[in-house]
Amino acid sequence: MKQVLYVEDQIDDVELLNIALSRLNLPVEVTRAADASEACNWLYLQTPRELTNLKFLLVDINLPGKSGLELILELRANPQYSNLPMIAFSTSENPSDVLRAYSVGANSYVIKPQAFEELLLTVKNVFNFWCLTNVRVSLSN
Amino acid sequence: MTTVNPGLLVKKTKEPSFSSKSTAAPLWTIIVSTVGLVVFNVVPYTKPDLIPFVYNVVLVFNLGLIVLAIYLDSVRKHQVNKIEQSSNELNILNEELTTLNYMASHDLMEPLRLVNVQVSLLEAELDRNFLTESQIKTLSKIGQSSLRATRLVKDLMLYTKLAKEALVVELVDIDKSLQDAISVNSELVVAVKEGHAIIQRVGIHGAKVRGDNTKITLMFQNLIQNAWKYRIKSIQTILTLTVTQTSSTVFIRIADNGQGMTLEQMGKAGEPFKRFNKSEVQGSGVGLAICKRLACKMGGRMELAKNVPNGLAVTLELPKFL
Repeated sequence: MKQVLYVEDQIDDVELLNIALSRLNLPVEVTRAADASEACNWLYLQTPRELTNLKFLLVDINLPGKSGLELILELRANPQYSNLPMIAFSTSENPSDVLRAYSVGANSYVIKPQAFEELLLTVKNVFNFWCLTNVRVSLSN
Repeated sequence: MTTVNPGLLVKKTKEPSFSSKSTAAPLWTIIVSTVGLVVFNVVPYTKPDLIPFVYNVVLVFNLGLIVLAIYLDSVRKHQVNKIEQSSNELNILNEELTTLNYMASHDLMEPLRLVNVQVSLLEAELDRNFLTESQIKTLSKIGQSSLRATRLVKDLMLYTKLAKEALVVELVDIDKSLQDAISVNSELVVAVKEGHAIIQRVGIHGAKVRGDNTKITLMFQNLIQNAWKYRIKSIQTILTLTVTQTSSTVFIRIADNGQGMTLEQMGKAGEPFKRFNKSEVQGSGVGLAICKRLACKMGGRMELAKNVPNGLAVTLELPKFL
């Protein structure tokens, strides 16, 4: 089963994502981590084989404690997880937040939708792309 | 140029008038030295025995003046330091307030967004046959209010961000900038095509100003959008864009034949979240405030006047060279 790690402190957002996935019939299992440390712990417990099923990380920027961007930066520095696709997911439309997300190594920056229809389309496009293609990130420039 | 953020708490510091003290020392020195020199030159001819005494008096005076000058200089330096310190504290406070405002707005966006998504999900899932007319109306009102709150918060964030952002100075083609602003308003573009609106351009071709292109276009967008929103729907909308120039200033006038404003409303226009037509027209009331803030930031100003015979004329006065 394809897996996605969703690092999000707001349980409502996770529930909405799951509703969208079930509506779209996407065969993806979403694991939720409530903060950066929970995400790190979960990744640490994964075997290399299990990690191959992990298609990408969806990371909310505004997390309690360590921010989503700090988490991405930390994971990019770790050779074990550095090639995982990581997507910053945030309410902020501020260009400086987008720039910071890309500069720490996010592969994409997705603004959280304001309506359910929009959420459905976002999830469909994002998940289809990152789950159907076996993308792994190269760190070479 | 010092810009003051109107939305923020700004304590205006009164500059102390130490300048008179600092200029007094050299003036006294000159006067007393001159008197001393005169006495020193006259006394030897009239009373030679007084020479040592006069010499000592002048010496003591001059020494006293040097001490006084040093003292006044230290007082001046102390006051300058105090002003610099207060100014730095004020800047830090303003910066903190702006950041706080931005963060509060950003944090408000999160729950508002969730309400928007949940309401739209509920609307999609509910079987409307089981809802009464009043329940459908209530649900729709919740959604609309939530979207309006989102728009308000977004505009507040933009208003706050503009205070922090530095200007990018470049040569701006006013004609192109106005055209960009018009093309964003799809309703107006369609209305022009269908003959429901006319855009008249006077003196625009070739007019240029040195300023921040993005922000100037944003001002035009807001003003044109306002002119369109507050139009009189029963008549053809006429927008007149006029550019006049002096050697140092460019005046960009955007006039419409819409609902206009009373003198009282014009006085209050430019204050954030000030709306005059709450029921019919959608908006947060930040557009004019943004224009006013940007015009001030660029060293210019914004003026509102009645358009003849009806409507509103907004004039942006921008320095040609920023």
